[in-house]
Amino acid sequence: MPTTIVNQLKTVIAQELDVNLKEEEIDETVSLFEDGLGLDSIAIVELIALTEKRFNIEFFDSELNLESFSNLNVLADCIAQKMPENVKS
Amino acid sequence: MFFTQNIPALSLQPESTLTDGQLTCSWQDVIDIFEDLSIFLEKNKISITDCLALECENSLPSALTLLYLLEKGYSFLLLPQADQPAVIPSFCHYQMIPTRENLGKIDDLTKFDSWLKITENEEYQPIDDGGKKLYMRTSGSTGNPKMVVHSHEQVLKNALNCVERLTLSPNDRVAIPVPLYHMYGLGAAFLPSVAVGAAIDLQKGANLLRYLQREKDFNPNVAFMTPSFCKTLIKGRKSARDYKLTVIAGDGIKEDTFTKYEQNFGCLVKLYGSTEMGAIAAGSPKDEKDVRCQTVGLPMSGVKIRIKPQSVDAQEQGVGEIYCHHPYGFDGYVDTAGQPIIPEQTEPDGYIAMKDLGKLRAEGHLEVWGRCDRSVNRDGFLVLFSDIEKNMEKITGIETVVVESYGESQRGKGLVAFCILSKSANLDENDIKASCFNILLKRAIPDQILIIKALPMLPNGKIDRQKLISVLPQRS
Repeated sequence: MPTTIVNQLKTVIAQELDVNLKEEEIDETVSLFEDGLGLDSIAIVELIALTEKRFNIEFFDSELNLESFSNLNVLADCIAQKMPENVKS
Repeated sequence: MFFTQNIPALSLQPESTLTDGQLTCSWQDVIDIFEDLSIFLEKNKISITDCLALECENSLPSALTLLYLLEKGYSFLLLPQADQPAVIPSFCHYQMIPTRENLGKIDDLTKFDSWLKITENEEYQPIDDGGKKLYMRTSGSTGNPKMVVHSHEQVLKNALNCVERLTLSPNDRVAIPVPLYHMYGLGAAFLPSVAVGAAIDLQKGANLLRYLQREKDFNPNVAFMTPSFCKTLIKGRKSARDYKLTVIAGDGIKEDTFTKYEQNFGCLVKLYGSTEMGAIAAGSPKDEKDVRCQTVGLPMSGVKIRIKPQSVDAQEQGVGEIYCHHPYGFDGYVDTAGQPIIPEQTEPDGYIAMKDLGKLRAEGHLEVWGRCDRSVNRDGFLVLFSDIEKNMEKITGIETVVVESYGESQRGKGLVAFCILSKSANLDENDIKASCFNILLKRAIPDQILIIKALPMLPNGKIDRQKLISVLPQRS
């Protein structure tokens, strides 16, 4: 599951964010920020909104931290945990 | 002691902290570190008569070095830390670059060799500036940067003006995600917070995630922001959180954004200033919401404002160019050799043209309408870009509009509107132009409309207008 999510995240970043990145250039193990993919403050906010929409999830404020968004692999794990089929009632 | 003797709360709040998220020290630690830093600089043969160039970032090592230089009365040029080596003017004897790379814990701060890189300037040519000067480069949003000279004493008085207006107190916990190397971050946020002995959190490269994490760790009740970061918080933060006060400066903020921010995060005030003058006017938390939203507040203590209308049309509305007389303003400009440059916009009685349009209300509150070069004459009338932007942003599907003058048109100067659409909008340039005919006077309808994805921004949170214009086809 996380591999599929990572690929979808790459598509979101390459096609829907205003960043100059191609899917094949995106390394899922590097930081999303200045020292990696280079997403700025505005792009991060957009990425959060697009991720929530695509995976039908909602992040809590407490989940909006550098750790959960450290790279695409980590983010994909975080999304997988939140997706409806993984959320226990 | 210059700055720390002005910390009335030092004896009351010695445990108040200065942090950058990695390292934290108390105000008492600061005094101790200053003593050791004196010995280190003496060993390196750096004299109080040497002018220095300090490359600064929002970190504890940079903040301590900056405060030390002010405290001891060194003349220095404040520069941002950049990937490329900075060009150091000939009047600076040494370049200082504080870094936090080799610092793991607060005790490491006494190992100055590991975090304070000092390089002698081979081109050094001394000047006699009388000492205790702060040199800053202008932000360069509209032209070529030049160096502004302040005396330390005036910088402190400017900071104390901010303490009074913003009602900062020793119990405040202040988040500073705006750069220390700009006058807003330094003179309005950092030094006033130091002056009251507040706890301070310096944030480098703030984005939503970093800010929220630091907010959780530091628990600020006061924040200094840019309007664009306010929008980021409105969009990205899921729940409301009450601040005692948020201060914004830089570009304007839309009324609905202002209202949404206040609903979620509490009292918001605008601060108006410049690199040359420091803080000129600011709203007070004591002002009514409408006054805080529509004006930049009253002029700071001792500051006098004059409005000079540029046309009969503008005079009738009470609108004109803002001139400012500031008792704690800058000393003047210098070139890279440290030689004085005569300012162009000084009036015989000492008032300085701010190059902004504005209006003084009867009660003395100042409205700032935008840069003077953000208005043009068309069909013989003054057309304000801010009016066009405000009206075009009412078109359904448009989120943000920035208008610039470009080339000529049959009505006078040409106008281009750069539009950012809201997410679900399905508009093209022709639709927007058609809507403009319904909401704008003919002279105010932009000649060109361009839909763009995002606005290029400068590090100080202002729109990078030169970059914006560069996307247009070059004029022949």
